[in-house]
Amino acid sequence: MLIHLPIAEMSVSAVEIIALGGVVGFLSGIFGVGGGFLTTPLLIFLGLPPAVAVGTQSCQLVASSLTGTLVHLRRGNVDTRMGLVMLGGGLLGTVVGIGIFRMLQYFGQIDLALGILYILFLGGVGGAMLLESAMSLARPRSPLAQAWGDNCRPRFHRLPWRMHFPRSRLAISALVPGGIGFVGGLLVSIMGIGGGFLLVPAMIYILGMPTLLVAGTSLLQIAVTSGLATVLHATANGTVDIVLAALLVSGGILGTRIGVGASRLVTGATARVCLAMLILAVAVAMGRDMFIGPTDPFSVAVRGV
Amino acid sequence: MWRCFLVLLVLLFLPMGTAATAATEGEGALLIAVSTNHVRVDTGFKGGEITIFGVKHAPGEIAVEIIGPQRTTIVRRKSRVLGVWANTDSRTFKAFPQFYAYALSPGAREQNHWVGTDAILIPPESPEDRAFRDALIRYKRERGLLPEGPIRLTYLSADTFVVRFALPPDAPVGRYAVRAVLRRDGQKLGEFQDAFTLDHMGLAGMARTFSREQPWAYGLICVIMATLAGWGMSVISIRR
Repeated sequence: MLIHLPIAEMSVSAVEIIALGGVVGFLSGIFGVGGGFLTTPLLIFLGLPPAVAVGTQSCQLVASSLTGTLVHLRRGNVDTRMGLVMLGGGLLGTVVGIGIFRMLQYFGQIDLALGILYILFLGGVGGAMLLESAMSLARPRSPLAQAWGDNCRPRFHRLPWRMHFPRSRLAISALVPGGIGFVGGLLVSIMGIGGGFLLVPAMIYILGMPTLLVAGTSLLQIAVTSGLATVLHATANGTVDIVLAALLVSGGILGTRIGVGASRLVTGATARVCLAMLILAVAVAMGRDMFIGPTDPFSVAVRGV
Repeated sequence: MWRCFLVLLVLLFLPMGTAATAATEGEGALLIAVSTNHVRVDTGFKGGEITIFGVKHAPGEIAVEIIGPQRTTIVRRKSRVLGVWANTDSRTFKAFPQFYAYALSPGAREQNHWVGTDAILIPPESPEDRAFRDALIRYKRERGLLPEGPIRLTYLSADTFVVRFALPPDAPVGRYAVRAVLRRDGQKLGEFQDAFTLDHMGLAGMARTFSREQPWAYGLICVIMATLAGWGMSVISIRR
């Protein structure tokens, strides 16, 4: 069934988009990740303009990360104080990110920027995860992360505006979680991904937060920043497609239900290796166009009214 | 259909009194009317159509053009920089119609760019510029927003005619100008303009208009929709 997307100004198969949302939801249910890093590239591969893919994905992120946040809140696994400080930086990062996005779009370099960012972030994170999983099979605690935590964490603690976070049992400069939140906000607004894969390790290794609180707190940050990103993308860039978002969300809900059920089948290092491979595959696919020439070197864009 | 019929009737009888004086001045040598001033296009797959009726009061060839909303359009070209493909060159086409179609009376030709694709996109001198122009034409034609050639204009009688234009599902929303020109031996005898607005039917049309007019509210509604979905999902998850 073909359905017209009012903002993307093109017709897509509704079944295809719901299936896409479903597959991403399924994978995120299995691996416990947001899946934004999969949706945005898949939408671009389906022929949607990158700007619409990113803008709309931020809307779908609100739904998926809010579900996670509320579940974690109910179980008491959210450090709200830490979350709010991170959000201070996160909201600022989102606004700055939208500005950068708009500028890149104006100069026609958004495709290139997304390609580079996806290769850098996904390639880096996927590679690190693969390495980490391989090492964790031999040794339980990664020496890489250990060394990072021992050497850098004390330095961050000397920054001004020290705050107490009783829930996490931490006393740390507000600049550190604020800075992490800022980077998270940039990722949400420029790349259309929650950035959990970056926030989670940063909160564990840089902040030294208890692992139990990390997932819920990072999801709180993602839910709020992606909400702001959605409104800003809609107003500044006009790139949020409500029909596309609704299709993705409904597919995602179905997929996640099945994925959570199936998550018992894949666990531990196996799951992490699978996820790392998936992330790397997306990085390669996104970067392919950058190195191998595009089928048509010409592209057409209409400047907004 | 009744409306079309009425328009035709009016066209047939109205100009009789004025024709003699008007034709001599070159003004009113040609008259057209659109079947409706507000076309609603089905974005699913059907699209829409508009019918144009006209009367001429002098012999000659006729062209009818539909010119969609004009917006600045940029064509970019990728090339290899440091091993990476990036947009390196571009051409800007100011006020380029987002939709264009035209019809010609039997026997009329498109000489001297008076009508047709060459009229809205004058072929540039340099082959470089021409490559960008060709890319734009290719892109628009693939989407049915620029015609391969003219549509046939049908004469109902010696001086009344009708043209039916199909509007593709992807035809952009906005104001469409309709222009008719009467020519003889390369000389313009008369011109007449009309217009209609194009809207999209159903939910998609509403969403689009709303997103343009109230972007803040539209963005908020998107967030509220996602919030409700996320909240609903969490209720199911917790209950389990």
